[in-house]
Amino acid sequence: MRIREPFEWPADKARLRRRAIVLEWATIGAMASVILVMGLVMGSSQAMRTAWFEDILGPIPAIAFLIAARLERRPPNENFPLGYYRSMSIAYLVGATATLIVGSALLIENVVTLVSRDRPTIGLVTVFGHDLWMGWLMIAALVYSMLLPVILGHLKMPIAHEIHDKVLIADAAMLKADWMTAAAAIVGVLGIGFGLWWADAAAAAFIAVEIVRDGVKHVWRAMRDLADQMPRTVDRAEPHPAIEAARRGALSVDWVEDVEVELREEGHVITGTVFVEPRPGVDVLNRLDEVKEAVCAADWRLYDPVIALVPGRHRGTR
Amino acid sequence: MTSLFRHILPVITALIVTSSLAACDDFPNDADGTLDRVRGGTVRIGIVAQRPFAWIEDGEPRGVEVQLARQLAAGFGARIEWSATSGSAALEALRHRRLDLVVGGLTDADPWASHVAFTRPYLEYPIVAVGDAPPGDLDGRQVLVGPGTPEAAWVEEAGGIPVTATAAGQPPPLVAGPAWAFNDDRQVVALIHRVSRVFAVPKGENAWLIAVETFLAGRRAEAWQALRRHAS
Repeated sequence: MRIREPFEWPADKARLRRRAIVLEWATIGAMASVILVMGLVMGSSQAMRTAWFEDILGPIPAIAFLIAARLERRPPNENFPLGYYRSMSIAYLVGATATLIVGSALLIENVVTLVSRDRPTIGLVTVFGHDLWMGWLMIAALVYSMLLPVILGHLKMPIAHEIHDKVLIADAAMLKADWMTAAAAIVGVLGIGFGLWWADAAAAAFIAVEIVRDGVKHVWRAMRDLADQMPRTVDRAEPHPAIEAARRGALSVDWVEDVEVELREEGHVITGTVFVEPRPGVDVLNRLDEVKEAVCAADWRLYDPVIALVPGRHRGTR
Repeated sequence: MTSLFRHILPVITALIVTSSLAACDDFPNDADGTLDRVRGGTVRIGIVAQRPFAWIEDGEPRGVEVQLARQLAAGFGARIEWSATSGSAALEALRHRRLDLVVGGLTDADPWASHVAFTRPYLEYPIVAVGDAPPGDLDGRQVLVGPGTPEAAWVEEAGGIPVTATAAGQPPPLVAGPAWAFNDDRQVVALIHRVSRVFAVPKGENAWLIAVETFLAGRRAEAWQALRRHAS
């Protein structure tokens, strides 16, 4: 089989991509520290224990990103002639699924707690020789577990949009789930303190609905990507500008009469077929690469398009 | 994402501030108001019979933890209403908030932990193996335990061989038991297990739990002395 030329990242995007990798490592480190801190203070509280199990799933999108980022760099070879670019799309599905599982687990757990009318209790803990209500310690840990995801999410979002990275988006959804769960748990702990036994589970269930909705949205998007949906912007608001750019790029070649494109996403890159109707009397066979270069120059994500020649009157029936 | 954060953060901050202000007297609170009811009123106490912690003799509750419970009630000016049932029925009653406190054979490893709220351990002590031997591990050594006791399992976990009777003509093996059960002149060969003794209150009663925990916090030495007296 023909082996593709590897995709070249533009210098500025490559820099952002490296920053994303650093941020994802930071995310794993931050989440590990949150898991540790929460593990130390969770005590016998069932609600904290649940939050903790969800924290353990938290780094999955970040891990999926790092693995995919590594695979994606491998040049196409005999075994994978089209390259490893799709690994990013697969990582997106993995990260989205993890978010969905976290949300569902949280929802089921807390609805069960509410239905069974289980009342959480928080007692005393000794800190440096002083007796302290453990709720305060839990709130401190929860505030800590809330700050890091907010900061990291803030740093990641612009990069995700710049390099069109959906795994980062899924990861941001997980970070959002993390801090929202923590916020709900703070409300819950305070509720317990006020003697409102249902407050903890109710707040968590409320937040869980939001996380499930996020999870479903991203799983659905990831599946549509893998089924080669028309490339769209990261927020899905509109068709990706690279489609129109590719068409215009091909049209800008002087011997091209008309153009139609058939594009799909493979992780970060957009690829596919560009159907070109040449003007009569041009030596198209020797000038075909001009179209390819023009298309690739039109948008940094456009990669290795196949240029197909079509006769004018048959266009549209192909 | 950030806008939602901006909405939630002030709410949480406000909650933390208000509850900190309330922290002086009635925060945290009970879901069912147990502490308020106990103060100058009645406290309903159940017993899981286990000597020397709590048992009933001639219709009268006795034991180290029963004494502690009496002091606790006296501190709140509360009359004690002892439960008519004991054992797991008492814990079941506690779970359904028909009792305010259960004392007796409870440790923090008890499987009831998810249905009732345990206090912090008020006393921790080791289960030890004593005998005429230098300190060391139990590997392959016989340790005398009561039949059908958790000590047998703990001895086995520690590598020893639990036996329930000494064969005639054999040298006396090591003996396992709680540290308070042996006189100071007995040689401790090995620590087998740690036991953490707790009281139980209904779930959701935070203020009551804290009141019981605060009472128990200074009673470690007292409980130990009572157990030692009981053993000798």
